[in-house]
Amino acid sequence: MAMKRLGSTGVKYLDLVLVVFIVTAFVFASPFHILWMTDETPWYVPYLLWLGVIAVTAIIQTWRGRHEL
Amino acid sequence: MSFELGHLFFAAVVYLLVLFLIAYITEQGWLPQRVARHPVTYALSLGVYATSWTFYGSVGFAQSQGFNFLSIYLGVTLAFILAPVLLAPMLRIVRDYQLTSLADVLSFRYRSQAAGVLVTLFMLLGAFPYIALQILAVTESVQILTQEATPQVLALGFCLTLTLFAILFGARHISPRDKHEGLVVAIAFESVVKLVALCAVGVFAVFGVFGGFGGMSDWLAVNPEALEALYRPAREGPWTTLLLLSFCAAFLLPRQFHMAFTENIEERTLLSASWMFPLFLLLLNLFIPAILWAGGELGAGANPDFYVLGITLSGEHRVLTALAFIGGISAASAMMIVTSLALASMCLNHLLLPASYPDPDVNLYKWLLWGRRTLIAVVILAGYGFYLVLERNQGLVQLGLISFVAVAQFLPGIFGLLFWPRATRAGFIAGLLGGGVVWTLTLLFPLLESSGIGGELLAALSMPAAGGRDPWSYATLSSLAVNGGLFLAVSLLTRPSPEEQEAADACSRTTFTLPGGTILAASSPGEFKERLARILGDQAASFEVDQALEDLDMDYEERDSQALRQLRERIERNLSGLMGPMLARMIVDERLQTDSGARAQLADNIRFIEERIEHSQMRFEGAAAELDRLRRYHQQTLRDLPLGVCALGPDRHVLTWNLAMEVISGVDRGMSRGLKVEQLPAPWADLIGRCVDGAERHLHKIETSVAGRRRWFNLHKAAIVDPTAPGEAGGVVILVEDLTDLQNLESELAHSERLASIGRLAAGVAHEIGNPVTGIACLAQNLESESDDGDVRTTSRQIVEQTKRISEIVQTLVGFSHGGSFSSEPPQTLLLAQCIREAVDLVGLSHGAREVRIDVDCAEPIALRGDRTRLVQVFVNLLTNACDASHPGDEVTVRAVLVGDDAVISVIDEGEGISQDLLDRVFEPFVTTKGPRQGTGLGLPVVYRIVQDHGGQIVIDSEAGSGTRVEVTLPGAWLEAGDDAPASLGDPRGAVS
Repeated sequence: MAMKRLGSTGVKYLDLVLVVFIVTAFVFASPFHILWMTDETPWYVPYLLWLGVIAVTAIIQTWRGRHEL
Repeated sequence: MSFELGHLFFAAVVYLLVLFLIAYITEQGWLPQRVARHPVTYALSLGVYATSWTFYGSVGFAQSQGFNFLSIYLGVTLAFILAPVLLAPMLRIVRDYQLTSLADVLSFRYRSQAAGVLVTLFMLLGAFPYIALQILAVTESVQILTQEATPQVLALGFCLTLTLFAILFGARHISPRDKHEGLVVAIAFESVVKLVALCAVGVFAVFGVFGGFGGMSDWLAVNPEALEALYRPAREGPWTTLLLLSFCAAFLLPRQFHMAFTENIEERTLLSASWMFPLFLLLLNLFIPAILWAGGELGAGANPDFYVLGITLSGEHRVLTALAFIGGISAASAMMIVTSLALASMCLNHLLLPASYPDPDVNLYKWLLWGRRTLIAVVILAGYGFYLVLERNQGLVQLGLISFVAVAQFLPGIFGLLFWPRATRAGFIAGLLGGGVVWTLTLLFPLLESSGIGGELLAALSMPAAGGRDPWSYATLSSLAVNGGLFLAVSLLTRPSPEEQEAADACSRTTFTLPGGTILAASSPGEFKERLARILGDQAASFEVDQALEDLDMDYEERDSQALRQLRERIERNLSGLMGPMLARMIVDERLQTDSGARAQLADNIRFIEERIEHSQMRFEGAAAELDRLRRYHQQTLRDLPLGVCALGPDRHVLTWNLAMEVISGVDRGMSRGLKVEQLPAPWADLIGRCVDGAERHLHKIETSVAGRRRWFNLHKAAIVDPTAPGEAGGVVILVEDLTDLQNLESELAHSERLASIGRLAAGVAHEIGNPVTGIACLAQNLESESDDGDVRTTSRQIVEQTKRISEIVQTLVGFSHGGSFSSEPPQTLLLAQCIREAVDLVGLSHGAREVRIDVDCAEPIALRGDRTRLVQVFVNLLTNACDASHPGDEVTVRAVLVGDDAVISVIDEGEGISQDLLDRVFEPFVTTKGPRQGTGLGLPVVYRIVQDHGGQIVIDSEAGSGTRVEVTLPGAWLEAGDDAPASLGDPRGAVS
């Protein structure tokens, strides 16, 4: 049972990592990035988006660390 | 405001000395390891990514390309989000196979020295512009601060100083394989300096120039074109291309690879860095727009690349300017030190060693050390040469991006490393050559040509982006398209060699190749040394073999072929860390050849397979997952089987040793597995060997001694058929059945039968002897009363005494045959002290006890219910034993205390004691420490039964030569008050001597 639980945690973790990557790539690397890159957008918006991505990644890593231990 | 050149140089040298001091303190262990190895330290050390390009060039980049400058860091963020999928597997490969650079990794994966050479050359070509960029940034910054033309010698002095520090940081020790914790901490410190310096300048820009964020917003409202200039180029420019380039650069640049993988100590720090490092980059870039706008507002110089210095100069803040300058030095020095170390390692392994391997008489380690030092100098000076020939008007960003496009060419190779085992050596080399040629034609030649180098020829060969096309997207996409296309096409057209396939499997970890064959050339670690010494030299060969033996916790006398195979693999890995994977393999293959034709049997590789699966990171899916569950289930079944299971391979190695076997034998599973039958501890080597070699499939009731105790076993054996090789011997499985308990039960039963017979005999004897003895006693008493003769009366009295003695002996025999329950008295309340006193008095009459002092300590009036006669018998027996074991003049102590509801009586002597093996059996009948005719061996068994009948316990604590302590615990005791108290008996503390 322990093996199963560990395995499922691992899969969930990698799934979450991939979801965050895809969403980040969509926001920053897809052609849709021009939607938020308008001349009216405040200068700090790219930083806020970036910080959001970092925060989500930090939460996932902390969650993983707790489940591993 | 201007600075003296000498002051600036002095400040830079002092700063570098501080860095060295930090590294030294760390290496000496004066800095706590929890700090040196903390994830934050590791994440900050990755900040070597931010060079002069970031520190100075970001503002210039933002000026020309708007928010495109952020893409250089967002790509890194994307790469680090994927750390568990992309970076962690690479880290495991690097650590498992002791690889030190990207060239090592790719030459290991594609099993090609040519690949290693090509990667190294390409890395060098890509790195020179980047090193030149750092030198350029430093000289320009000095020029701005001194407001004089920078003398050429300054750039050379800077390079030579950095060469010295790079050697001190990374090539000081004789063993280049070690991690450089000092370097990691020093680079982390550099990152802090960069961050503090850039943030300080940024805060000055916001608050010193605009009066705060409100003022900056007001300024932006007045100058909307400033914001537009940030967003428009990002919408129209090479945003996506730059994201891709920085994604690759995040882990493929030599310095990034070195800090992320080679210097990494724990994998968890890499995963923590997946958010810490992007956070560092965000903070570093937070004030770039503010500095850009402040520079424009203040008119801080013609070149926006150096607005970071310019705005501080206009503010007349000398400290802030000095801090900014040190930040720039920090950015440049960190990059140059780490890059030169990484490139020196690559050049050593893939250019210098293959071209001129040292003679075995030369000390290899010294040769490697000096080779590394020389190469560090060569790399930095080559960067300086590139700086000299470059046109000075090249932007910092242009030089940096050329390197980025260069390292992006390794992306297809990395794809083959991690995800595509079908990729071949030919495909990788073809792709890299194709991409490299396009990179050279589209970026390198135009750069050299614009600097006036190469003349007509380069002009003809150059293929710069034309027609308004974005040069970076053009160069990146065309080079990667050619590279990736060739990589795919050639890989599909060619077949991987067996060794390539083996390396691909090892890297992808989806499957694994089983090690096979035996080592033909050497049959002991000593012979390993001899054979390796012919290439490595005596000292290095000896050190490497000893090191591998230590890593594997293996004995120098090891002869087993499987163990030697592991040793060979370990030596190869260790050598790989020293001189690269290709050379390591060549040396090991040449000096320690294996019999590649010999087929390794499945049984031989069971342990290898199990270890690989257990430590593998792969996630089984579908049928494989079901099979894995089935495997685990069978493994667990075998492990939990209540019979000892020992499976042996065809070469008599232990493959399976289950839990029951551990319990039966007392031999740990980890210790026994891999041993040969003959190497098992006694008596198992003999027992199992006998079973394996014997013709019989079953051995019944084999008696042996385990840990000094007699044990009985049944052994059953069966041959294992290797399903992959029917007809060949696959080993033997042996079931071991422990019969000791059963045998003991049988013995006890037989013993009980014997006792019952004695009982019946005794009852008969008592009956048959009793009457005549009573008759004799009566007659003797009559004779005594009727005779007046003194002699006759005396003789008659003695006859009566003797008949009493006969009756007592018979009664004792009958009593034991009834299990000590001969007495028919009902339980009565009794005082423990009285029982003890009575027993002491009785024992005191015996001859032996007269020479021993018996000390009674029973102050409390402890009372309990029981059979008084039998309890007195208990104390008599215990005291008799104690006195018999004591020497004349010794003391025997009897102590009784009440603990809760239990009366605890201790009988302690200072006598001979009882040995451990006898101690386990003292309650068995007829076991005695006394000599022949001195004891029957029935005393303690009788005591045991009586105590048990009273619901109590008896414990004996003894060691041979140091006396014995017998502790009897009788439940249901209480303290009696009143006339019955032992006080009425007189002094409860008494002594008989």
